[in-house]
Amino acid sequence: MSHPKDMYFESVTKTFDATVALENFSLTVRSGELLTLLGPSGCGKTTALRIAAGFERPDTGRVLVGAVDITNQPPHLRQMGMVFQSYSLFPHLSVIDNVTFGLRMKRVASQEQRMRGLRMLELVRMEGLTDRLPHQLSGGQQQRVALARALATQPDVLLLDEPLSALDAKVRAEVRDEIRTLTTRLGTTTVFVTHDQEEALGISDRICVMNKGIVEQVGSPTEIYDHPRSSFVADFVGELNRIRLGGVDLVVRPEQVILDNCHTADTGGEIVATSFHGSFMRYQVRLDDGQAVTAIAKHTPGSGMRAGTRVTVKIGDEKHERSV
Amino acid sequence: MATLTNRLKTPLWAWVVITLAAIFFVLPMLAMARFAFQRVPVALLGRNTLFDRWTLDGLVDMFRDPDFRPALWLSLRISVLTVALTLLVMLPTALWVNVQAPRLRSMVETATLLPYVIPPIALVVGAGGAFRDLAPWFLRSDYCLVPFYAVLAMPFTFRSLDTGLRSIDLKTLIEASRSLGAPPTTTLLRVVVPNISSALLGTIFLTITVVLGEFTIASLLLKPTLPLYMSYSQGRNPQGALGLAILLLALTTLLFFAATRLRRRGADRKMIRIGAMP
Ligand SMILES: Nc1ncnc2c1ncn2[C@@H]1O[C@H](COP(=O)(O)OP(=O)(O)OP(=O)(O)O)[C@@H](O)[C@H]1O
Ligand SMILES: [Mg+2]
Repeated sequence: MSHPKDMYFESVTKTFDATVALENFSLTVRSGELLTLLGPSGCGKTTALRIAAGFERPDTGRVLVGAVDITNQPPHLRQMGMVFQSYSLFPHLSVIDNVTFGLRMKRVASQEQRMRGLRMLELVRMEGLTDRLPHQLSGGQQQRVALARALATQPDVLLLDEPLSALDAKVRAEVRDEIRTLTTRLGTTTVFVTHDQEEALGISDRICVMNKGIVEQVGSPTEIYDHPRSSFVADFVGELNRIRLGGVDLVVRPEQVILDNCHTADTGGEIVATSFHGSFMRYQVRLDDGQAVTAIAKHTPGSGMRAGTRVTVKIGDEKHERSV
Repeated sequence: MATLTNRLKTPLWAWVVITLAAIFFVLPMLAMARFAFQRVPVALLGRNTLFDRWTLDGLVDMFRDPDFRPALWLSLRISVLTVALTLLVMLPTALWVNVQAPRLRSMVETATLLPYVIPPIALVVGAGGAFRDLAPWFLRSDYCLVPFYAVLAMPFTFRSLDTGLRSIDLKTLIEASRSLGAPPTTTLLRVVVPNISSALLGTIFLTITVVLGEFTIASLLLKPTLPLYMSYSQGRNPQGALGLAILLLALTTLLFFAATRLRRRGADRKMIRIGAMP
């Protein structure tokens, strides 16, 4: 099972003054996969990444790549590529010189530097702007160049700390897809940090959900979404209704709630608010006994219901979690 | 919009103050220049003699004076060494404050202001007393001025470097460089220094300005620097001394403006970068 380029966190603990940033944190990042660290602000994602990069030392525990213990290796000797949340291109260097910086440090011959740099820029569709300075680029372009720069040296692991958070929604989705395509194509082991569950579900091979410095659950996006192992995970990833119907406590996703505007025997309620999201519609429903339920329904022309509509609430066929 | 332009317009009284201040500074300088370069006694000055007998002789005599060159060279050597010492000490200090200990900034800033409140005479007497017993050779050397001047320049040099470092995203740039395989010194020389080059130049100019203008300490320690030479040659060649003073004044003013201009340019670059963010 184990691969010589897997990365391991072994019982890593890190405290800052009184704050425990990571507690007994163990995780395997498999060679070639894109693993996302997902969790609320302050749960230790950045700390884990900085320990992998060598910018922080763990109090206890080890970090390994394959069989090599890199816990005490200085950052410049590790083979880690890093993309930061803030724009980190060297302001005094052109796009191409930024991308080849790491190759210069590794004393790659200058012709090969340029060739490899240009190839990386092609891969992120920036080959037309090689001689620009960073301040002449848009935010999305800067992050794509930063990605090319981090990948140019063919690092063991690519570390991305919320690289999309400074970008607006559309560019964000573009760059996100680009990261996914590129790392898959190059087979780069990637650790991606985000606190955005949608982003995590969309991009990852596996997700590690973190809370207050500990690992809550590690698994594929569908595992995490369909079988959350703790109520924290269930709440944090996706949306949940906690309701009591017919004497049974239920925990259901909004898309499992089916609203029907013809009256049958079942539970009744009234739509109090709606919001349109293009491909789907969200409904806030108040049940007759006062409980609140959120429902999501696929949108087709003419299918929308208005606030004030009386509806019957049913829970879909899919197996739903029972009071996790 | 209208109120904004109104507020940006300089009011009349400000112009009056500015003009008065300019007269206060410019008149004595004009008088100085006239005295240095025109051989007409004050009593005979008038409309008819305004353009008579202007000459650079005083200055030329001074350049020919055998004591002049050694004084100039000494001041230049001390300038270079003071710049070197300043960069060696203040750059790491400013880096440390910005990367490791931003919380200590105000403390360090206050410490660098000490030369403002300690009179030079106290500095010399204190240090003199200590070194006379510990290392008597130190005060005998002409170069003993270097550390004093580095300290005197500290209020300017620290601020200049600190401003430069704060105008870039220092921590991220250093970490990006390290993660790309650059060891600490390479990171300093190839990433940090090029991005604070205007602050560095400003620091250098300000240091030279301090060295070329210092009199008290050099005089107390009896070191024949340029300012000291100027003061002594006033009796022998008053016109040459004043001519030189004007030259120095022009030079240091130029350096000072160059330094502030450069610093502003650095700040502009940062504005553009921020502006590029969506
Ligand atoms: N250098 C530091 N000094 C003191 N405390 C720190 C330091 N770095 C992190 N912490 C603390 O450690 C905890 C974890 O921080 P970390 O930056 O890893 O969180 P995060 O998951 O990346 O959060 P975010 O989503 O907001 O970026 C936080 O409580 C934070 O305040
Ligand atoms: Mg973070």
